[in-house]
Amino acid sequence: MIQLFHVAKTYRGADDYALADVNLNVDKGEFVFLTGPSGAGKTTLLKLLFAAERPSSGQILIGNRNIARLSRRQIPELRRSIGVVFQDFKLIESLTVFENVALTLDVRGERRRTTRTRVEQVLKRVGLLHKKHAAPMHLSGGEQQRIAIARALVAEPSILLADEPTGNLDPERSLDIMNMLNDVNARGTTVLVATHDPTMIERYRKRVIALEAGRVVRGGS
Amino acid sequence: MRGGRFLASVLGRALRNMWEQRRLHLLALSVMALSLSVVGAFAVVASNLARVRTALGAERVITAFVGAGVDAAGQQRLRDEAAALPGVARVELMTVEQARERFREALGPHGAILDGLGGDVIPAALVVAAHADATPDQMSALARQLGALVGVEEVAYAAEELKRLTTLIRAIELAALAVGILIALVTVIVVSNTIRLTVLARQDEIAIMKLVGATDSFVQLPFVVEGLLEGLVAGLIAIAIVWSLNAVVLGAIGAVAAGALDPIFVVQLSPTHASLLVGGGSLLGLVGGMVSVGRFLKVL
Repeated sequence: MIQLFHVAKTYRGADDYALADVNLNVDKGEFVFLTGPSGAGKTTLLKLLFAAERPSSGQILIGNRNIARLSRRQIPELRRSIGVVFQDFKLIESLTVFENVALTLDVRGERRRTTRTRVEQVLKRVGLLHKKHAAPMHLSGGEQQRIAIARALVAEPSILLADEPTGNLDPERSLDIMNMLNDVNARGTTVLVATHDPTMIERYRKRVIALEAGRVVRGGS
Repeated sequence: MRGGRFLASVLGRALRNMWEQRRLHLLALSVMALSLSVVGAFAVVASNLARVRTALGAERVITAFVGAGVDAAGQQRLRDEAAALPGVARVELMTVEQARERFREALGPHGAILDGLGGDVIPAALVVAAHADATPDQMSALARQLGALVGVEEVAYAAEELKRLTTLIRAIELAALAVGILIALVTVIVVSNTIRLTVLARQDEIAIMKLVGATDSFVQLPFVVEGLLEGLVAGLIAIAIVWSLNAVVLGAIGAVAAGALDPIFVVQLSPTHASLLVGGGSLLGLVGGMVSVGRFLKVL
């Protein structure tokens, strides 16, 4: 499903590699933890997968597409097949919960009726249907992250990427979010979660890919 | 995305953006409307002067004033000599009495002024009509020939005024062009900076849209539509301003001149100029919108 061959990434002006000679393989339907200390390259790796960054060298295959060779015009199509959840939620303050989730379908030009049905279904799934008209900023951190997950899932992507999804949450809310991601994976979605929280990794006993200083040190393939 | 819903979505987001940044847009709209009004005012002045030029250019008449010492027989002889000149279609002899009477009519209620003046104040004249197809050079030649006739004191026709007016109109047209270019630049800068500010205010929102798979056009079009709408509305306001100002000026002229200047000074903003103001404003707004967001998209 996801394959990286000798992928390296250096940022302009930086001396060190953010990622160096990364080789890894994630199968369809897998749940993978991407772990390592701060600055290990977890976020960079996820950014490469949804084309927020370009690799300096190497090849990245998602399905049959080589991400490294995508043109600017092809990037939206890739992003529509991947759901992304961020540590800081990235919600639009001026929109309601419903509108934030619907955004994923709006950019694709889905019919209003379809959008309404699917957004309500996914909000019900994350337990926020009763708050669909609320402003996200009036909700708790855990609830905001659930909105972000709903937004990532509403278009039923084949891959879900989560970058420190519990980083801003207390342990109880973190567990709630991780259970949700586990549930998403159980329904067939490939899930990659970047985290440096060892308790989560121990609790869920999934495959772990460990990064250090931009290199894969464990679990690459 | 299906066309109708896509357009509705774009328009909806553009209007929402404008409403949320209404103060900024109102300011930009005012600057654009005033700038376009200046261009419109130039267009009206140029149109009016062009009408005067056309009216004078169509005049194919030369007036040859006869000296006071020429008697009635001499005036008849001069009329025959003038009629024999090449290019002359018709000659009318206006005697002192006829000239005085015509002037009195032109003065209307103030005609009594002439009563206190001597008989030789208004001279007899030959009103010489050239053929309708006479060129300006032929008119000059004919004026010279009439001036050379013994007994003719002075020759008057519109050529000189026409020349001066043509120069004036050209100067005004050049000034309008220069001001127009300057205003076009100002408009693009004002609109693009206004929209750039709204883009910056929505930076996070745009980034999120792109992360969930929005295309560049989905993000860009509402901002372009904002510019277009702003230009369109500014153009319409400019038409209203120019039309109103012109109406006030025409009213003032009418009050002073009691219609004596009709039909020359009656031109309002023409439909062509009005369309150009709206079309030009919209185009400039559109360019401003594209410039502002286009550069920004490349870094996302």
